[in-house]
Amino acid sequence: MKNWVAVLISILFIPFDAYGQEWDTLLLLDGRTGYTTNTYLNPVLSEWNRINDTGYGTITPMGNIFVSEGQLSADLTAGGAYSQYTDDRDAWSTFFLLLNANYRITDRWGFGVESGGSSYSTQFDRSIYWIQPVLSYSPSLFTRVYLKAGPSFRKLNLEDTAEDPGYEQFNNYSIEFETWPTFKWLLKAGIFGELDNPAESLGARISSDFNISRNWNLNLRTGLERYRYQIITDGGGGGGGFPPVGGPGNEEITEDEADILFRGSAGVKYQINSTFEVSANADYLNYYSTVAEESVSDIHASIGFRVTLFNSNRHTRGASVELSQNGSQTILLNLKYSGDGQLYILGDFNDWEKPGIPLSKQRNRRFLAQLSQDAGAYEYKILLIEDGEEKWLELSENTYTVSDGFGGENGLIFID
Amino acid sequence: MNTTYRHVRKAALSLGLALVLLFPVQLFGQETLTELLEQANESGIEPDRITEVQNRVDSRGLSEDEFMAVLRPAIEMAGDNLPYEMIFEKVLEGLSKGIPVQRITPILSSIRDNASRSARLVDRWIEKPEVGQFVERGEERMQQGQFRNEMIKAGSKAMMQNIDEEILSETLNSISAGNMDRVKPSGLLAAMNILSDLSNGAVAASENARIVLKALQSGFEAGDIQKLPAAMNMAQRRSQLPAEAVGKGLMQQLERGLPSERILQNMFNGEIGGGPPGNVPGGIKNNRPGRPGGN
Repeated sequence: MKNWVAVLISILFIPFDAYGQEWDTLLLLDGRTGYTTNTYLNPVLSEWNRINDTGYGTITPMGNIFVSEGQLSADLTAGGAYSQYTDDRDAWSTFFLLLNANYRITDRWGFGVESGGSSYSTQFDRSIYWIQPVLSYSPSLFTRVYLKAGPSFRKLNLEDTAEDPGYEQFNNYSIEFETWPTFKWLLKAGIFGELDNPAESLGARISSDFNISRNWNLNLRTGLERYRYQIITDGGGGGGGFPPVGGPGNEEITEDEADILFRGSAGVKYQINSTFEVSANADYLNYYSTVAEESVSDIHASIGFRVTLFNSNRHTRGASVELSQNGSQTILLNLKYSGDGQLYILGDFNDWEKPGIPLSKQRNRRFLAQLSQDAGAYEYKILLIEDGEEKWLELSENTYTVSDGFGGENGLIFID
Repeated sequence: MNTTYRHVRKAALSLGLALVLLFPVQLFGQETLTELLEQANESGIEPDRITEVQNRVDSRGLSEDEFMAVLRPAIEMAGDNLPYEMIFEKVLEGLSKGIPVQRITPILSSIRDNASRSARLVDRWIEKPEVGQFVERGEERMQQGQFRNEMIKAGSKAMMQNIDEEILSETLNSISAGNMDRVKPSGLLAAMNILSDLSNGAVAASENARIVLKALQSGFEAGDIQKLPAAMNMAQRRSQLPAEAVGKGLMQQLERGLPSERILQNMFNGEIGGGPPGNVPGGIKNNRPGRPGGN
C-alpha cells in the first residue's frame, strides 16, 4: 500500500510542463466532522452499519491533475482519508484514485473512459475498482447526456476470514443527464443499475446545485434505489441480504421481494475566499424491506471545510504583470516577480533603449513602474540585470503578450 | 587665355571625374546614403528619428548598407502616408535584442505590406459618420491622425498574427454599427489585438466580433479586453465545453451587465455564465470515491 501511495504522490508532482500540454494541478485538504446513525451515509465509507450512532471526524488530502491537448482531456484525482470515530470503533483509512479521460469527437459527441479504485481498511478491508467507457452527447450547448457501462470489482475481506475471498464482479450501467436550465444552477439526473439483471437492480438520482451568489452554493439531492430479489417460500433462506451491493442471490423463484432505499440531502457551501470554503450537510435515508414490511430511517449531519493548498492556475511561471491606468495617459505597471537583481522596463515608449526605466521594489515580491505616454499601444519587455548579466524576463501566461516576430514575446500596454 | 583654358579644363575634368564616379551607381540603380536621406526628408520623416536610428546602428557597429536596408521600408511607408514609426520601433527593438539586421529586414517588409492592407481597411472604416463622431469625442486624448495611425498599427499587428482581413473588416463594421458610447479608443485598439487570440474553429468570426463589441459596450477597458483570450481559453479547458458554448456563456454574462472584473474571474474559474464550476474537478465533486455512478 505504501508503494502505491508513493507512486501516486510522484505522479502528482512530476514536472508535466516538460511535455508541452496544458496542465492544471490542484491540491486540496478536506476536513469534515459529523454525526450519523448509519455509516452508509458517510460519503467516503458507504458501508451499511447502523449498530451505533456515532460522531466522526475525517481528514482527506487529495490532489487533482487536469490535462488537455486539443480535443483530448484527462483528469486524475488521488487522495486518502483518515477517520476517527467517537465511539470505540477502530479508526479507518482509505486511498482512492479516479481517472477520467475524454475525447471530444465533435462539438456534440465525446467518448471517454471513467475508471477508479479505492481501498480502505478498518475492522475489515474493502477494495473496489471499476472501469466504464463513456459516450457523451450534447443536444444543446448546456445540456449533456452520458451513457456509461462497464464492470466494477469488489472484495470484502473480513478480519476473521482466513482465506482471500477474491473479487466479485458487477456489470453496471448508468444513463446520466445534466443541464444548466439557467446560468445559476446545474441540474443532474440519472438512472443506474446492473447490466446482468436490469430489472432487479434499479436506481434513480436527481441533484441540483444552485449558485445563490458568488460565495454561496446550495445543493439538493434525492434518490430512490430498488434492489429486487426472490426468496424461497418453502422454508429456504432468503437471498437478498443487505447491503444491496451485488443484488440478490440466485435461489429458486418463488416470491418477489425488494429492498427500497430513499435518500435526500441538502447542503450549503460558503466560499470565504479563493482558498477556503466551509460547508454544512444534512442527509436522510429511509430503508424499506418488503419482506419485513418495515422501514428504518437514518440521518447524517456534518460540517466541513476545504482548503486549496495549491492551485497551479495561481502559480504561473514567469513574471505576472498587472496594468492600471493611473490618471490621464499614465499607466501603473505592477509586476510580481520572485528573484534577485534589478528590473527594468523598456519598449516602444523609450525606443527600446537599455537598460530602460527601473522598477521600484515594493513589499511581497511586487515591483512598480509608472509610465506617462501619449495615448496608443506600446510593446514592452522586462529586463533583468543581475551581477552585470542581462536577461529578458519571461512573462506569465496571465500577462497578455504578442509575438515579436523574432521568435519571442512582448507585453502590450494600452494608454488612453 | 592659357590660364582661363587651364581653369576650364580643370573644371571639365573635375566634372568628368565626378560623373565617372557617380555613373556606375546610377547605372545599377543603387542609391547613396545621402540620396536616401534626402528621400526620407522629402517623404516627411522626422530627421531626429533618423538620427536616433542611425546612432543606434552605429553604436552596434553595423554598416551603412545595413542602415540603408532598415531605412528604405520606412521611407516607402512614409511616402504612402502610413505610420512609418512602426518600422523604427521594430528596428530599435531588434537592435536592442541583438537581432542581426538580416533577420530584421524580412519583418520590416512584412510590416510594410500589412500596414498597407490595414490602411485600406481602416481608411474606409474611418470615413463612416458614426466613427467620425467617435473620433471627435476622444480627440482631447487622441487626435484623428494619431487614431488612424494607431488603428492601422493595430490592424497590421492583427494581420501579422494571422488574423484574416475579412474578420478584421467584419469586426470593425460590427463595432461601428453598434452603440459606441462607452467604447474607448484604447479598448478598441486592444480589441483589434486580441481578435487573433480568441478561440476560433467552432466560434464564427462574427461571434468573435459580437463578443468584442459587447465587451467594449459593457465598458471593458483595454486591460480587461487583454485578459479575455486567456480567460476564455481557461474556461473552455476547465468546463470542457465547446468554444461556442464558452462564447455564448460570456455573451450572457455581458448582457446581464456583470462588472468586467467578475466576468473575468468567472471565466478563469471555468464558470460559463455561472455554469459548471471549474475549480472543483469532477472526480472530487462526486465526493464518493469507490462508488461508480454516484452523483
